[in-house]
Amino acid sequence: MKIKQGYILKENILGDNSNIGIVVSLNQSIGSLNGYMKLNETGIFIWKMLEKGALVEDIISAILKEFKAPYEVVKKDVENVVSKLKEIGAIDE
Amino acid sequence: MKNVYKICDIVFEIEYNYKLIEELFKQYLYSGTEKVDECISITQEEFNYEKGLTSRIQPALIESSCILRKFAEICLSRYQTLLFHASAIKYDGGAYLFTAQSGTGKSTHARLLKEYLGDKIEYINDDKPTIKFDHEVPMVYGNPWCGKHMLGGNISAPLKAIVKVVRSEINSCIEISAEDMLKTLFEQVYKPKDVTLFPLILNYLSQINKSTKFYQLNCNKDLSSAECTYKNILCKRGVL
Repeated sequence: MKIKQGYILKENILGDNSNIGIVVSLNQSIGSLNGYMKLNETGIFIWKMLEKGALVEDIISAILKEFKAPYEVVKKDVENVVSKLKEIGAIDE
Repeated sequence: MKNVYKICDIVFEIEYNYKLIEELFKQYLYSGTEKVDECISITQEEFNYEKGLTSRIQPALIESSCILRKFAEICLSRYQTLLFHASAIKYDGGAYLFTAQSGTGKSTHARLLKEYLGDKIEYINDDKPTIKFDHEVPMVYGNPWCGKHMLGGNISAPLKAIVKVVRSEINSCIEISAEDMLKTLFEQVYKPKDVTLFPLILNYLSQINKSTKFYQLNCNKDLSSAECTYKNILCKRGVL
């Protein structure tokens, strides 16, 4: 899996310490650039791994190393983010 | 025909074909000694492109839209400056932006504020004010594209607050978070034709979020709505 060209992530869009990011597609015609997808810190972590072409299982193990959380919770989170990114067309299978 | 104009502290030499441009731009005419920073001229192809996008039929207004598009892209790519769809007023040295989708009544609200507070309110731009970052501080500037009633001035002020206007029978006002304002900011910021400039817009939105207060104003079209804004937003700075 990989992030498609033309999708960008802007980290810290709120300019505070919350590190909320948004994903925007640049593959839209003029005037229709009105949508974005919001990502939290974990979402941003997942995005960055997808950019490198990581698989879902790779991402889950990387998150388990980085954050203290049960496997099932992490798996659900990762699948959820990946499926939403697929919905907006941001992922090449 | 061509003239030199100073808009947002940038000196433009603008070539145009229609006399109306002189009328629209007259407040910005520049005869000083600073060198020209940027030249804008419009090709027939650009004119035709713009004509296809707009419902306007008056050629001078189509030319004005063409110049606006080039102005916006130059500002964004080289001068840390973006355009925002809002009615911008100046009060007590600060700029306040009232934003909403077209037809909600942001201009009506600005007019009511003017009626309520008289000379204490100055119009910066009633439709598309420019926000320019000066060492990360957002400053609001007037420009020639100031809406159908042409309410605006060649003035500037530091941005104090952005207010989302929502139509309601009863007036109320609350401060909202950057997160709650994000969708509105995203929708109302002027988008360039060149999408490669879009990451710059996102950077500037992040800077606006860092330094600006946001409010949601639920308001009707009575003078009492201006009093609501005055008490809850303008007076928040402790100045009566």
